[in-house]
Amino acid sequence: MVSTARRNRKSARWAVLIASGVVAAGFYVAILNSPQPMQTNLQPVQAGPQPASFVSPAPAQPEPVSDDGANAPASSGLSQPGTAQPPVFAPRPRLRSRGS
Amino acid sequence: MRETSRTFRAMNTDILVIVATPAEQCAQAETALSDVEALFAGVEAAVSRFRPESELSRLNRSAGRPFVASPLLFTLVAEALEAARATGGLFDPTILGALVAAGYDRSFELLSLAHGAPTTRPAGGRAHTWRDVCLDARSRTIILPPGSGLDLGGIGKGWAADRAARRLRPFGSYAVDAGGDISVGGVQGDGGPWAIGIEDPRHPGNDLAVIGVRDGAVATSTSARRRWSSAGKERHHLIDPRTGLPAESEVISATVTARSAARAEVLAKAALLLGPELGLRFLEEQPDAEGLLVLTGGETRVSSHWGEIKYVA
Repeated sequence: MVSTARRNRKSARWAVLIASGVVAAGFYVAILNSPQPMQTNLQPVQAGPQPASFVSPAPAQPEPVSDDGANAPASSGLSQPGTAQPPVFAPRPRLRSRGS
Repeated sequence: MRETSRTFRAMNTDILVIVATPAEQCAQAETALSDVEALFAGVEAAVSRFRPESELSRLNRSAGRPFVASPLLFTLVAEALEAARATGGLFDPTILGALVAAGYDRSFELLSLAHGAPTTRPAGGRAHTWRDVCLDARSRTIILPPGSGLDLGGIGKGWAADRAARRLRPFGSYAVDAGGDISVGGVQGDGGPWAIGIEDPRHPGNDLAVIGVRDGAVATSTSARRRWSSAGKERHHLIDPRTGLPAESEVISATVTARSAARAEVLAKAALLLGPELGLRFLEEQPDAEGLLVLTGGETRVSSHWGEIKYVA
């Protein structure tokens, strides 16, 4: 009886060992087949000059202007020559330069 | 801010004056508008060539002799001669004889009523130019060459608009429209630059463009208005001092922005007389000017920074 019980315990121990080996082998295979770690785009911060995109932007080139300036942006007027503003739709003028 | 405005007639045209003030300054604004109206009446009384009693008419009758002028007339004549120098004579106040010879010998309303009565005078052939006028600032004395006369119609309205603007400047925001010669300061009621329509010379009443101006002036010179028939020929009031005859230019209308209305008026006439290419080049040389030229076929030409003051249509 004793020997039978010992034999049963021994069998159970082997079963556990075998099962553990199978699981460990499975993990190992899974690890081998897993995708490569994701590359990051993070770069180390470096001192020195700023990249070109941070340099003050160059003055915008004027858009092509038709003969009557129809494509041109409006600005605040004579006091600031050369400072183009975003296009603004004209309010209805009360003043009219009509020639003399 | 509250706008106070006034319209009245002077110098043979409609005048519109607008001033924006805080509500508590409305009384001062009304006083200023009355001052401006009186200013225009005073300038017209002094420099109209259609009024025999005006100081300018007396000066013209005194051609060949020293004439002691009022400060107003002396200043205006001096500025007209300076404008002639600045434009190389394309603006010349001594074209009176040529204007009369072309048939523009009375105010335009009377000319229209007369329906272009033929003139017997030959046109052209100018004997004198602006260089022949002598000024003595110390004694405010003017000496015109014998047989000559001045016409200040090409600068008078703009000059008066500038004077009116000077009176309104303490209020900050104002506009003076003297028959299309416009001087503005500050901003209009909506906080933006003063919106100014540029009339299409071929379709009166319609705007060719709208520009935004603050602290500056606009004037248009055109051969499409003030036309009449004389001796079987259609005439207009823009005399080319180089020929002494009504201008024959490919440009029918020139609109110019500049720091003052008188200057804009003079530059506009010079650009019109010079034609599309030279006219634009001339405007580009002016530090404070931009321009829009309308050609006989309806095409337009603009100076390089015109687009910066033009609203999107």
